[in-house]
Amino acid sequence: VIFTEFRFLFFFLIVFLVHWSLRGLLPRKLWLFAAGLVFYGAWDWRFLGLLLFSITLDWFVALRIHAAPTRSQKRRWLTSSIVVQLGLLSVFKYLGFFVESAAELLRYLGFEAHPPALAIVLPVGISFYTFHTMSYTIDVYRGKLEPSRSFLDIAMFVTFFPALVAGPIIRAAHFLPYLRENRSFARDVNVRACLALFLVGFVKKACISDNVVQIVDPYFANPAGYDALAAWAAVLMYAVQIYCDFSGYSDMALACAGLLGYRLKLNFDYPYLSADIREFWRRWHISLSSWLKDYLYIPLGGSRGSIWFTYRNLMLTMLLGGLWHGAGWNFVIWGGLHGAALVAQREWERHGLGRAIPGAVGTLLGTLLTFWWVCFAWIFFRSQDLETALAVARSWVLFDSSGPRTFGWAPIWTFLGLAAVHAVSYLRLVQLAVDRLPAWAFALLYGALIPPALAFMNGAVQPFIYFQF
Amino acid sequence: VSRIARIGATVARLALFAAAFALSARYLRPWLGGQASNLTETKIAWFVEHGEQYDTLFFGSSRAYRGFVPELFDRVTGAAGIATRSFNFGSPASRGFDAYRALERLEQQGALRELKWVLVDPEPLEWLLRAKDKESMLALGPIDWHDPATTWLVLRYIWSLEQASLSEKLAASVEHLHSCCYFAAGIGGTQALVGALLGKDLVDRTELTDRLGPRLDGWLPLDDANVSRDEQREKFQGAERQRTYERELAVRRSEVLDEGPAAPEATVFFRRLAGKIEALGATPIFVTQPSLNLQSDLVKAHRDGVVEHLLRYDDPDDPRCAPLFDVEHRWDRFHLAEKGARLFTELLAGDFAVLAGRLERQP
Repeated sequence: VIFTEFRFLFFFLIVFLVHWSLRGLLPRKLWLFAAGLVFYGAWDWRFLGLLLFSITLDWFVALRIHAAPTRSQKRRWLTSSIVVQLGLLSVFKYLGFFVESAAELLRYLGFEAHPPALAIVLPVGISFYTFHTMSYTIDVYRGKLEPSRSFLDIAMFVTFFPALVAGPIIRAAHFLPYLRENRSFARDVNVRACLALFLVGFVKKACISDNVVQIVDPYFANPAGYDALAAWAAVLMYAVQIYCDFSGYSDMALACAGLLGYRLKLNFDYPYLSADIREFWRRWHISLSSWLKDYLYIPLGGSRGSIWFTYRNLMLTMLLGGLWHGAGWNFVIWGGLHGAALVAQREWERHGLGRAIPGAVGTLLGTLLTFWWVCFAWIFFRSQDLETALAVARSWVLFDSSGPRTFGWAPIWTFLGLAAVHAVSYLRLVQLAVDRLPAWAFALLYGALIPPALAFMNGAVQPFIYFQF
Repeated sequence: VSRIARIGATVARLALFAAAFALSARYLRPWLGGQASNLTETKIAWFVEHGEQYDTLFFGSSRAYRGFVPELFDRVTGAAGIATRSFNFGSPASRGFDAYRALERLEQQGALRELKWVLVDPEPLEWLLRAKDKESMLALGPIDWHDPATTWLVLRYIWSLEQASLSEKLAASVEHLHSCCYFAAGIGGTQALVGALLGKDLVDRTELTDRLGPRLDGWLPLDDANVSRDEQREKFQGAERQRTYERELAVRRSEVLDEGPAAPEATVFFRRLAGKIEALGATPIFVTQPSLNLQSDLVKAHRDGVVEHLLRYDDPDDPRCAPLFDVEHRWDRFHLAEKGARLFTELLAGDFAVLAGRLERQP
């Protein structure tokens, strides 16, 4: 079930109506937990057991951590939980990759290596819900959070369906307080904001992301067959695709959660308008980047040490962040490119260069350079193998490709048009105007906008890119 | 009082929303184009440009796409004194409903002025229930023919099937209704505009021969270099696959057509399709291609006089058709290899020439 499919709308309508017609906190929590299980089970019911195991483990471990009298005992409980959770993630997501990489290395060293082909099915959303549960136990260990005695609360926190399979990554410290008091529709739901956000997310995903794939996929399947202009068009459109896909999903997730009375944190804040790479990571997939900062970068030592120690931590964080996205060297390279850019920025600043060109021109140049680098990194993220990535990168950097096929200038103009709309929406003028509309006018506008949005949908609904992570 | 007022205000807003939605959809629809699968779109676009050359169309699924050789067909009919210029409109997963819709679109674009003969294999209607096809119900092709009237016909047909389980019927119904919602919403209707914005013509000239075959008459044999690796795997590669096929062939041979009539919904659809073709000034000729699926509704409809012209090649016990079921002529259980396609086309063309000659002699 994908958020842009009609069947999800029917599912959500039922969940919404029943949720708000139930009285009392417990029935509502039970209902949302059941809805989460149905939503997840619709993907693959076989992995419900794994999901429930993860929840039960961390619910129990958090209580043991809290009850443990000494720091070392607390640490032992936390370690056991992390080992099991990351172990499960490793087996399902990375085992095949590690085995194949080890075999490649052995072959490179001249040994015979023929590992068995591992056909392990990746449970959808495992990377996301593993991070949900880990944030809970780590926060309890750090004393930032009281553990919940209610299994239902933890189960509902992890299986909350708007964020279950592709984020945003929810923190227990943010979400659990919501479960202590009953939600009120009149007090806690901003219907207009949620409906508007859902439509924006829908347009991003269904009308933009699912359509631009029509040039991205053929190009990346055979980059040598296209000219350099097509390479630029395809890479720019992939940047559009992945942003609209993931931020569209996040918008819809936030909107659905909001309509149920739960406010999730913003996951994207116009990242392509960032003037430097550090700012980009403060605005792109915010729930992941802040998770990596709090639970990986800072425990590694953060910037509390020598400059080389800080750079090591930055690189490690970004390489592991890349690997989190998928079991493949292309994701590691992607993380490495971002890590390298973050290190370069620190060096730049350390030498007091700051913004070499001050003012608006400097910001504009910084934004363009950052976007160019982000697109360059996307090439490795998107390509199925290193050979393809290098071919595309050559076209992107050197404008060099002599394939006979082209998309012409049309996608470049379309990209510029989309960029202009994006920049204008950053000013939030339309949002302010919509907020000021009387309720009847908003109802009319909303009803009138849906048919054109649907008409732009591509019938072949594409799964969200981040589902595979 | 305030609660009643609140509910009243909510209902009023919902009514305004619904009215705005309906009006917007109503005025948008004339601006939206139809949208079939990529291959059908390519064929439609090609035909709009070159339709005046052709007087004979063959509609069907991938079996037709791979199995009907226009150039050979025209040669055989020409030798028999019935000059034709045929075009293969077959497209994977396409059925009679798609043929109806394609004819409608070609008619709207004035591309059928020379049309004389339409051969069509509507494919087994029971396939509307198959799990494999359910996945493709939300593809653009099926959405394009899921107008409310056709969807209602399909639903009635599904629920009339005695051999299907309740869960199968429910699941298939949900998929068809889902597709109908997409149709009503006009999904896919702006794909021509989207293509222009992306610099991607719906008809990719560089891929034209990959799709329409070397002679650009719509036929692409399965034995050529353009076939993907996945399709290669589908070939009869080993004895095991051949044995499986032979077992299935034995099952097909044991199938007997029952005495009952065709499903009423099938009858309605065959009449509608034949009526459409006749309204275009052409003669409808239904065809059952050589495969292991007995098209019982179509055969019964012909037996009962609903379908006037039917050319059958689906009986492995018919001595004329038997070679078409030999492993050497087949690509897989559904499709013919190039050798089989030529054999089938020759048979079809010969039978067609006899039928067409008889019809042309009629006053």
